[in-house]
Amino acid sequence: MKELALIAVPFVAAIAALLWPKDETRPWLLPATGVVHVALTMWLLIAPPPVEPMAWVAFDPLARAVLPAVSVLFLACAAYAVSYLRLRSERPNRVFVACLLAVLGLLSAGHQARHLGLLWIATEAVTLAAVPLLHFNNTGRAFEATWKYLLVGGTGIALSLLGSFCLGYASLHGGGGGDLTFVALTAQGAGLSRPWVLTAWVLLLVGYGTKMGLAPMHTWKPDAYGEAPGIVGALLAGAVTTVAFTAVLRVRAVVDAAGAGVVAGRTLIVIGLFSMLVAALFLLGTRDFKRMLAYSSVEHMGILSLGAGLGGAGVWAALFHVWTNALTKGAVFLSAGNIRRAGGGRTQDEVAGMAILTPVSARIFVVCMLAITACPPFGPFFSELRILRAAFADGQGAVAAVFLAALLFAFLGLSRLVFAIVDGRPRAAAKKTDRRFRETAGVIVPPLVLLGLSLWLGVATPSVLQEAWTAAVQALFPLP
Amino acid sequence: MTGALNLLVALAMGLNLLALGSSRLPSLIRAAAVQGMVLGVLPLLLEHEFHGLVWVVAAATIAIKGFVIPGLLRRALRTAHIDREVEPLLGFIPSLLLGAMAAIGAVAFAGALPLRPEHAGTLLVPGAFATLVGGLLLLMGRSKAIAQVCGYLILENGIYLFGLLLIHATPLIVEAGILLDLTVGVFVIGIIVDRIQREFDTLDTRKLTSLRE
Amino acid sequence: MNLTPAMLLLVSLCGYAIGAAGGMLLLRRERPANVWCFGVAALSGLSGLLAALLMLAGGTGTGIPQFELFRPLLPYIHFSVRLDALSAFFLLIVSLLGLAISLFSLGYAKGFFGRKNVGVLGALFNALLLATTTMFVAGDLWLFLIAWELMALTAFCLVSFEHEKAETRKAGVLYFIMSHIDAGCIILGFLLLFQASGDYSFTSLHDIGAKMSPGKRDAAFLLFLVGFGIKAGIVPLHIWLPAAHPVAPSNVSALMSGVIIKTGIYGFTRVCFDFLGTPPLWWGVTVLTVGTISAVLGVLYALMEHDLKRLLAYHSIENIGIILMGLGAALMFLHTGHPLLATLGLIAGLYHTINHATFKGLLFLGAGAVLHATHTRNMEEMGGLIKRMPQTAFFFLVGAVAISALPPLNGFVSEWLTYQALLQGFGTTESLMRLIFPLSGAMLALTGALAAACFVKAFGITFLAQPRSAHAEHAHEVSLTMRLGMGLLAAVCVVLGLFPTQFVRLLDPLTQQIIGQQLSAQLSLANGLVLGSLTAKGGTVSTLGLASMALCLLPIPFGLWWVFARKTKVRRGPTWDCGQRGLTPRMEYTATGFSKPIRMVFKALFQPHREVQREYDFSPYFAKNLRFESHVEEVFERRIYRPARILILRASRRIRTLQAGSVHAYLLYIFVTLLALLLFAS
Repeated sequence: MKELALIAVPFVAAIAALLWPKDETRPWLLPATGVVHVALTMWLLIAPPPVEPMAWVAFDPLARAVLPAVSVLFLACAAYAVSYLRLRSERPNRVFVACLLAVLGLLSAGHQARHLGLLWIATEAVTLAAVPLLHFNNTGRAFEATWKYLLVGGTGIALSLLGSFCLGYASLHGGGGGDLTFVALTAQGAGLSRPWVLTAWVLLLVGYGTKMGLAPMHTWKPDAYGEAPGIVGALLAGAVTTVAFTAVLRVRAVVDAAGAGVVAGRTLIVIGLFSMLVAALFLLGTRDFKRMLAYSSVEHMGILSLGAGLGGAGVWAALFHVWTNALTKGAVFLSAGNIRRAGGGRTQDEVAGMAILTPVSARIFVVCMLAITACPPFGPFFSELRILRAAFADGQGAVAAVFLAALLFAFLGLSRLVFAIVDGRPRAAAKKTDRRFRETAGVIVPPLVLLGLSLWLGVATPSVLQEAWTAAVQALFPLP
Repeated sequence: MTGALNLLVALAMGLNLLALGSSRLPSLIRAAAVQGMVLGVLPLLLEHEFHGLVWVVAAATIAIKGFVIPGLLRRALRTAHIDREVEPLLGFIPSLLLGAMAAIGAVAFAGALPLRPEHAGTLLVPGAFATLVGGLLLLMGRSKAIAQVCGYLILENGIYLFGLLLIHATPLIVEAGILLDLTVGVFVIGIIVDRIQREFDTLDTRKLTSLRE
Repeated sequence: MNLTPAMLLLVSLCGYAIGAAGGMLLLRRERPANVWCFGVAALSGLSGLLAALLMLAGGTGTGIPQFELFRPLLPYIHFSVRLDALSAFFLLIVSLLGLAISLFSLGYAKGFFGRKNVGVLGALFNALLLATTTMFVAGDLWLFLIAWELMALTAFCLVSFEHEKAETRKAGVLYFIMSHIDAGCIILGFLLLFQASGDYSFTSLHDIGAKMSPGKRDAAFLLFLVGFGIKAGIVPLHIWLPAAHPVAPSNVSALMSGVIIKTGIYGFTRVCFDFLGTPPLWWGVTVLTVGTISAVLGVLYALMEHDLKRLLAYHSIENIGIILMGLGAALMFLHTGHPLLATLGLIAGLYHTINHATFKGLLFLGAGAVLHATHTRNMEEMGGLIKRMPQTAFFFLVGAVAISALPPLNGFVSEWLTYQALLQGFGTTESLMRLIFPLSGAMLALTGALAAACFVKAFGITFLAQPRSAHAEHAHEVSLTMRLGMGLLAAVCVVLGLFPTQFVRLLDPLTQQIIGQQLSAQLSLANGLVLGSLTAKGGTVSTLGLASMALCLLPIPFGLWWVFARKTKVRRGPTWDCGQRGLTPRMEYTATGFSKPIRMVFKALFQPHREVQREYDFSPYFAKNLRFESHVEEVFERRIYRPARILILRASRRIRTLQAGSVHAYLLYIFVTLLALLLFAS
């Protein structure tokens, strides 16, 4: 019942937000819902409910391994949103708040979906619900970004629908009933028609890869993250991408069962490394720090894809990375949002000397940059180390070398830009910007908490999470 | 039954070429609308027993794909007061050639994949792939936002065509959900097109390149 | 109460932590922050020094203290601390330098009052010492790596302390990037080791190389060579060092040159001698070659510098090269089965490590004092400081003599040991590789001569003659604590120079633990003063004897003068000034002029950029205006780093055209990817 409440509570709150009369108090619905959601996911994490095998929606091991991260990230963003929306009181927030809540509900549905069609519906709906969030700023650039997001994302999501149908046809052709639940597909295993499985795999990978932002399908990301408010970026990069990633994982389990695991693994590794390299090269050149975060997200999606391609230990590490990436990305987007507000620009040509203007946010931003580029002792370091170890254990020395090279370039690009923004003297443009921006607790504490969680996750990964990831890996790829 | 089915699918494939060859937006919209209606009829031919819901779904598909969405696009065209030329990035002749090649390629690709005996004789799979590629070509090769929306509609039609293979296997609620999602998707795209028209005073997406590296 | 090394070590670690915390609490009150941070750091350094000495003096029989940090806090990961002899030796270095530099900083940091936040400086300084000390005594990989990264991070913060200057920012980021690369290499290397052992503790990694395949072992060796080499500043990975050391506050420069680059030596020694097992021949050859090249190039580039701190930074590269020569020879001897000679090489390397730490720390502190008094790093603007700051000048001179390897100071002892190792190596193997020993020996001799020349220049231009600028004119002696810090290190230079045998005995537990040999019994003769050689062919030297001989000889010239020239009349007159009126500083020998002969000899290497512009009215003999520009750019910057940077940036620029803003192109990418993956998967 609680698993359905995870979906229902945000929707009820979304409807309440639509009906709520006052702009000033409406944002408080966000943290309220977030708290309930986190409480529910934590309860479910610690005491996982029994899973009905044929259920379409269930808090199964994979949902248990990932959904709490989404929930925690949402709560931090929700807490930040209260202060943020007060700063942006010139914009009506009815639709914004409602859509944020709807996104949470749909994410909960997507993570718990055990039916390919249902998963697709949830993912597509998340895509659509995010549209009003993206053009919240109501500028021409925001609409342009939204248009590209819709067109590129829509095409990708359409391809994943075709892939879902192909997988269904693979079952049908192999003598099965064409049932699209993952349980049934996995059970059919080698009975699935191999050519159709491979076709389906490619289509689903490209489709959900577009949603994740794997290169070269990542093109919507810099535009969308660059134009959307920080919280939206944080949610897109840390939460929406994970639903696509779990979709890829679930499909990969089916493909593995069908005996095409080697091909699937190889494609994931190739596309993962390609994403990392492309992102790293973009990071070296970009001058806009919000777009920089988007490319960093592309890089981390590449890391996830690589982990997923490396088999059991890699998947475990990738699930770990989902957590560390979500929490750290959340922190980096929120602190970047502060700098964007206070600095009055987005490129290194417009913004400098933020260490003087917003000392706390600037410091958090630098530490976040270190965390996201895998400096110990933050979480991403440990999860990426696990992926590296998985690559070594798999005998993929070349993969490990490319992985490290891409990490290095990404680090060069990120640190170059971050220090250009933080160091030096403030630019004149910053003086005439939003005077209302103050480094209050409301905009400082959420990123700080996320950063602290990322640190905690790195040095002392709670055993309940480790156990949850192990369970998820075992459920996805049972040992023969 | 198969004959009628193949006839309709072939019609849909022909409409692809028509859409690729249209030089004016209204005729492009019309091609997409007719294709949507043709596809709406297909479930009636495939379904063995006719219960009410099938009729409802078919009617809804025809209504939405054939009338509501094209109507919206036409309205947008009227209010935008724009030039009705399609203004291709990819010329009509190359588009048609590529579309024809896509149709041939789709037949070859479908031939390479194993099919169930009841589908082996139909054009469903090649038709689906050809329509899909046709839609993608429109998306990539047309500069007007409305033309791209038509491309997206045609792309979806291709997927819908493929989905007919699974019509007996997929639960109706899933199908309805998918249909609903796609419809809302096109609506949302339409809204954004409208906002872009107001913001930029153009529907030429070649102008939308201020976000770049 | 019985003081154990473990307890003292813990006190030292806690002290640094408390010092750092105090600095953060006293952010707005600079005077208390200054006293608190550096006072606590000095005491912690003292405690660590005692711990190290107790441990080393205990001899070979002492058990290795081990304990775990944060036991109750972190139930999942165990951070174990282990103070074996190698760790204790490096603990000695960091604590000694920590103590001396903290004393110096008590006075030096006053220069930042009202200008920069001393609380932050003090907190970071303590944090750096904490991280470095922890790294030296770490007993497992996790703690080692975390301390390693924290060390890099705090060092980066300290380097960019004065980040309002563009030069500092650039150097800081370069340092940061190189640190990141070295961390990456080290992590990768340790992963290879970890694969073979399956355990994180250093004890389990001992001799793990025997269990690894040769390919993996070689890969690990190369990764460590690059990783630790970047930290140590070997050529050609040294690029960050001459940039970062000069821009840091001088106390930090001293710490970085004295200790932080030695962390690379520590890691390299730990890994190569403790973990990787018996080395193949080429490891030693590589290390020896790299060391020789670093030594020669380091000193050559140092000669070209007229920025006092950059000059010292290049000398760090030279000395790291000398250390690696000893270690490389030791690796070769391990391969050829001469453990005693290997011990000699190892001792030579490590002895030079602590020597370089003391005299380079001293020289950087001296440079800091000069900087504090004159506010410039450019030697061409100094001069005449010996009259204004005599004690600083004396300490700097001690450091300069030591680094030039002149007896009886400590630099001489370790270089002599290195010569012994190299010269005796020729007979150890029949292969052609033995030629490398005399070659390296010759290069070491060249290095020593050039270093002496360089410090004649550094000391002469900086301290002698007349002041070349108003800054130098108004310089004054620095405060007592600063002199105290320098004095301490100068005293250590003398002690390490005069009592080498005693010090070598302290290293017995270390060599026993690593190689299973002890050198002190072989080296010292009966009276314990003489550094002897292992075989009949080698030489014997006693610095204490040399020093006492010098002391005995000193009265002789005075006696001669007293006997023969006492009655001679002394006439005092002005220095001959070629008929000009009075001597001005512009007539003095400049640093650039001093190094010109060497610049000309090594023209092929330096490829100096020289530009002269003359303006004259009617005859070229009466120049109205003359502009002369000359600078030397490093060959590695020109040939390796810049082309690589340009290549990467070009790739980055090229790939940006992918994101050209056209949604049509974006859709095309998806389509192409789809087709490519379909082909790939089928």
